[in-house]
Amino acid sequence: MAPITPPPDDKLEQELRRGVIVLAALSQLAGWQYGYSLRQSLAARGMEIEEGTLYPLLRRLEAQNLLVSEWRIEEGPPRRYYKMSPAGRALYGRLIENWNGLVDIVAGLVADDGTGTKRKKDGR
Amino acid sequence: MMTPDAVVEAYVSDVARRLPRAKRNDVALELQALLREELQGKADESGRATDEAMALELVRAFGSPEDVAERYRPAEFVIVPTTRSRKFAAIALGGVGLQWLITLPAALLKEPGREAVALGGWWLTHGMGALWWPGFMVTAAIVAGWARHRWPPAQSTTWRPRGQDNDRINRTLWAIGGVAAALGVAAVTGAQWAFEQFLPPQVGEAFAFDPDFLLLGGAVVVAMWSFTALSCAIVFFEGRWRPLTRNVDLALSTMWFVALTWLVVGPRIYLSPVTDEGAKGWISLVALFVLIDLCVKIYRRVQRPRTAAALAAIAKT
Repeated sequence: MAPITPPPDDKLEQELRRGVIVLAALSQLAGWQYGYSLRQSLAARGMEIEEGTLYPLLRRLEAQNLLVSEWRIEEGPPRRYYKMSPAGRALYGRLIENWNGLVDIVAGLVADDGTGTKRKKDGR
Repeated sequence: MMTPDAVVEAYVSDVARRLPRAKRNDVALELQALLREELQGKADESGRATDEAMALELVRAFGSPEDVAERYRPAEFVIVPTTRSRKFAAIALGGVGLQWLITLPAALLKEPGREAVALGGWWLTHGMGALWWPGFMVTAAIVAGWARHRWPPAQSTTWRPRGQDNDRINRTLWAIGGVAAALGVAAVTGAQWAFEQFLPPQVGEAFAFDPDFLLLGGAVVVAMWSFTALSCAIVFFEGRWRPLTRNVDLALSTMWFVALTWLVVGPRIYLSPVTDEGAKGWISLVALFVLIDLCVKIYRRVQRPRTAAALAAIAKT
């Protein structure tokens, strides 16, 4: 039987983070933001998302009618601004509910994970 | 030496040409503005002016133009789902291999002593011709993939377990198959007569059987048809397979494959060389399908007891 090579740890971590990117991006799009300002705003809160991931994501969310966008020419170059559409806000509400539920469940699981190491429910 | 702006511009145009025309300019304009801002942000952070190396580092980290364009494109339909790609490749290549296996020996036997010429002739006809099969499969997969994308199948909530009674047959489908087979037999045997009745005599002559073939080959084919019809009739009236009828079916399939291969490589069937060659081509195709069907039957037969044995072993532990 061929040995199973585990994927590198960073890949698994990336996968874990990828699952919350949409929620993180929507959380900052109640008002108008353009790609770069959104990335900066997320990074300032500790959520670093690669530009190559975030910018195409905005377009895809817009194509799914979860965001609305418009070009604006203020100071500097023309920029495309995005914010949540009504459908995006509805999805955002559902994602928050799901997220809260998941946090509770996973925190409960890792608090008593069978390794004999008792962890606090906040994950530390 | 390029300016940082020229690097960004070249990168963006490389991404843009891979995007759908409708959104190409819009995405390019936005991406260019964002990358310039990212570049300026990097320069401010490092406390030095932007340069070519910094711009290259930025766009390389952003991703290859192919990857980035893919991220911007809406999800498109999948031609072969990953779970089926191995099987797809095996059937596509296996089909070509089988056709070669049937046609190559026939071509070499046709011209003994002139193998190189025969090989060349074979490659230009049946050799390359066999590639129709993967082409056909890809075309069918494209149509199926597009249909799945256009009309997505029902979600797993509608899934129903398959009937466990694998031995039961669908009588309606069998009846349709039986009628089709009878019509096929009538068409092959009655072609000459029908053409002579309704078309100019030359057409009828083109479908005249070789009398030598009728003596042996005709007898073999008629015997095979009779056995197959009898076996199918028994299964049809019983409404289900039994171990005996399954064994007979497997034996008949094997005999059909041998008989059809013999027809391809063996004696002349029709007097007209053109008709004969055409008929042998079609028979090769039928032989290929018979062989595939045979392989599937054997695979299922080998597979079923193995699953049962594994389950029994687990139950014991």
